[in-house]
Amino acid sequence: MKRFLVGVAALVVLLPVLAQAYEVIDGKIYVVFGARQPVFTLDPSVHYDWSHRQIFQSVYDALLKSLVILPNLPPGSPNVGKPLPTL
Amino acid sequence: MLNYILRRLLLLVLTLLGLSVLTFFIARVAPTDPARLAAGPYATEEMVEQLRKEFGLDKPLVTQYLLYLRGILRGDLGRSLRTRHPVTEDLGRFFPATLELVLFSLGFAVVLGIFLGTLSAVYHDRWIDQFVRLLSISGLGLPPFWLALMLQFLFATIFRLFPVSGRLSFGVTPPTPITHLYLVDSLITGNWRAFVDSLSHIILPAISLSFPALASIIRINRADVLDVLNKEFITSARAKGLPERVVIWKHMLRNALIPTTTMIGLRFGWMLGGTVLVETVFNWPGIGLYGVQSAIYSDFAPIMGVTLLIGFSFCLVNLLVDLLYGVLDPRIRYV
Amino acid sequence: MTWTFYLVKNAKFHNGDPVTAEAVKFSFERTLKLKKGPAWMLLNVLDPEGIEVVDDYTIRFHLKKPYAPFAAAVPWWYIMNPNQVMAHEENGDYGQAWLRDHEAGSGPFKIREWKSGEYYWLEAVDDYWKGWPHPDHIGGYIFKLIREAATQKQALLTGEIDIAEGVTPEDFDILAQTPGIYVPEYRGWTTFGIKMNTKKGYTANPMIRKAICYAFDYDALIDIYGGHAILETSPFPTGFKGYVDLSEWMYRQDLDKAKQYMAMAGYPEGGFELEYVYVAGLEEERQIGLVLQSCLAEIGIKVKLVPLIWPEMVARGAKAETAPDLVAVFVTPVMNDPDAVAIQYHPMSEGAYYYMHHYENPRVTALVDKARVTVDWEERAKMYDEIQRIILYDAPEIFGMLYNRRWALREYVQGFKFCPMRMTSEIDMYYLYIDKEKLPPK
Repeated sequence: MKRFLVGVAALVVLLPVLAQAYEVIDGKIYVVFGARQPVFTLDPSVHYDWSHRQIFQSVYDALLKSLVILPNLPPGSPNVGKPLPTL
Repeated sequence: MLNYILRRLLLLVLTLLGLSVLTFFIARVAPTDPARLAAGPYATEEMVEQLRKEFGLDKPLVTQYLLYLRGILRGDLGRSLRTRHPVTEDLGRFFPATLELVLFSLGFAVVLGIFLGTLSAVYHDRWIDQFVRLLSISGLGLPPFWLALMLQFLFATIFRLFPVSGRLSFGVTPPTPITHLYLVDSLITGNWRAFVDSLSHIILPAISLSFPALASIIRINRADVLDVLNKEFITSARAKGLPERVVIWKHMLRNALIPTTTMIGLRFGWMLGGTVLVETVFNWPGIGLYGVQSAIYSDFAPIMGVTLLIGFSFCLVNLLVDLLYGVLDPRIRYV
Repeated sequence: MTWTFYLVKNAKFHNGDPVTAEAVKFSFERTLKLKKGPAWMLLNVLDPEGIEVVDDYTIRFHLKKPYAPFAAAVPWWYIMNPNQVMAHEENGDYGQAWLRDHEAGSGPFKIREWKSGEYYWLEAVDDYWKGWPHPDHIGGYIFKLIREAATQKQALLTGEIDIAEGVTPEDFDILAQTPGIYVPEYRGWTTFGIKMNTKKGYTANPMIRKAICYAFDYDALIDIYGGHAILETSPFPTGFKGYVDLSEWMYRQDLDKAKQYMAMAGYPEGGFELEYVYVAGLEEERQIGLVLQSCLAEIGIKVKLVPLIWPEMVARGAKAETAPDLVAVFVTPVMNDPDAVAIQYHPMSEGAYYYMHHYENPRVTALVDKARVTVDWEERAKMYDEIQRIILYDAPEIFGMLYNRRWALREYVQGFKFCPMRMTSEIDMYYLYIDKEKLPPK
């Protein structure tokens, strides 16, 4: 019984592979993007929603690119009722 | 014996046929339009119609069903509207993960359940018994979804003992596929890094998944052992001067195992169902997750595929369990 | 009618082939012929025959009729390498099966490993023809599926992921306070509104719709989002192209007015029940339903909350006969052109989820049709101004709010650039770079 418990305790202590931030593989730094929505195809003619578009935007180019950039909101700013500038 | 197995297999085919009819028509009762969903929110009527045609959704229901049956005979389970992959391909990718999780959980529940059940019977009404009882009551009472979230929060976020989700870390190459079960494959190929990594990934989901089964195995086993404990052959074994360890773990256990074995067959089915929740929380890439996602999108072909696969596994395991009785209890004969 | 594009000469596909006008023609033609994905954007205005390859680096589009949003559609028509795609064609599928798991692009990243349903591993193309905006650009990224909001938050905290797109509003607040993590926040163009069935039932009566609009408590919307939202000030998203500020005329809670409209509608005491349909599991939408319930109780309307899964909701909303009285809907315009918003109030959208109000006003319909074929922006802007005012007056929905878009990133991931034209959770990964000073030791 005692031996069993010690065994279990040892397993619990030894197993953990501590979670690591970012990944360095072959000298390159890869960041990990957590996403709720899957991507099923790399075919930009077939499907689109935000997750597909993110991947398409990374892998493909188009004739034009949308680059409307809005300013960041300062942290803690009261966000109620302030209209945006019209573009 | 052979006769018995053949009869059971025939029954299995009939069961699956019935299951396929039920699932096929029930899934279509919901007034949803999967082709429109798959075509995207802005698709024109023409585009939706085109997709309907491509996936055969424009034909009458009965024709669709017959075509589906014909497909099964050719090993074709249709194509998913959502993933656009053939369902067999998707199942082939996701089923091993689920199988690994369920088998591991089942093994975990059985070994620990028998051990704790026996322990608490032998030491009944002592503190060990009380503790085990607490464990088994909470196992029956706690919602698995909640348990999974709590375990994840405690052991992954706070103590950081295990990874939060997934089946394998990045940078860890999956073991050479032989059985497609990472734990087994990495053991066979001696890939220790992959073994430890996949073990650390499987533990939390396995505990969450096995908790209800663990609880009921503990309870049944405890009751059985208590029952057997006072039987004559135990007294005589003790009288022969056998050490207590041998009496308990050899003589008593074999007799107590039969009801537990029945449980395993049932629990296997329950667990396959339970993977839906646990796989979602831990993002375990199995068919539970695949099935629930498909159901949300009314994606018929994968719903059918997952249902049939789960039904098939369930029937098969119960057949195996029934055969196993004979091994455990020589008095049972198959006619 | 005719658009000519001059291609850069140094662009090349990942396999080394140059990006030529021929490739552009192929890509557009393929989408038009497959009639899937983004095809709807141009299906009615562009024929495959209308695409002319002038020379290797010049392409000309001859539209069937003038179509003002053309330029706004083009960014979503990606260019692929015809040689690679057609080399893998099976049974005339235009390479669809092959492209599921392979790419034929020229973009800043290429695929390193692809595990459908688990993760997608992309690698930066070091000699990308456009160059990189920062020398320490990311080496690539792993798009990892984590479906539960709670799990995403925990994965970010433990460092399993570096960027989280989908955690709850409260958790974003918590993460913003966590050392080592920052939460960029921007105004988005996703509107939330409660569409009312304008064709059937009590809500077909515009007086009742107005009464409901005046009874609703708008500030509660902002509270539900913890202040990370603004109220709509027009049927068009605030700041969107063609938007006009109609703050003065927006419906705001005024129970006296609401009761007056109920009286005008012939129901001074109310006395009927309406259904509010929302997506099962969306907590914010449920809370909004509770607010609606208590507000409409004031004017004698009972509200029944009905959670439905998304496909069922869309199916019910597709026809006016079955569309719910009240239904909660988020809409994100997908093209940077007012036409993308205006068509949501045009019967051509029949069947789509954002048309669950089944709104039809001949004047609006005519204006939308005219505006999309008008080239001169000044003239178009005037039409959209009128469209917004009419829609607001007709009140086919409770015009709600726009919530802010937020992500949570680890501090060493810098360079984040927001563009409201991207869809809800999308990030343009091309701009990201690693701040090596903030990088924790491995």
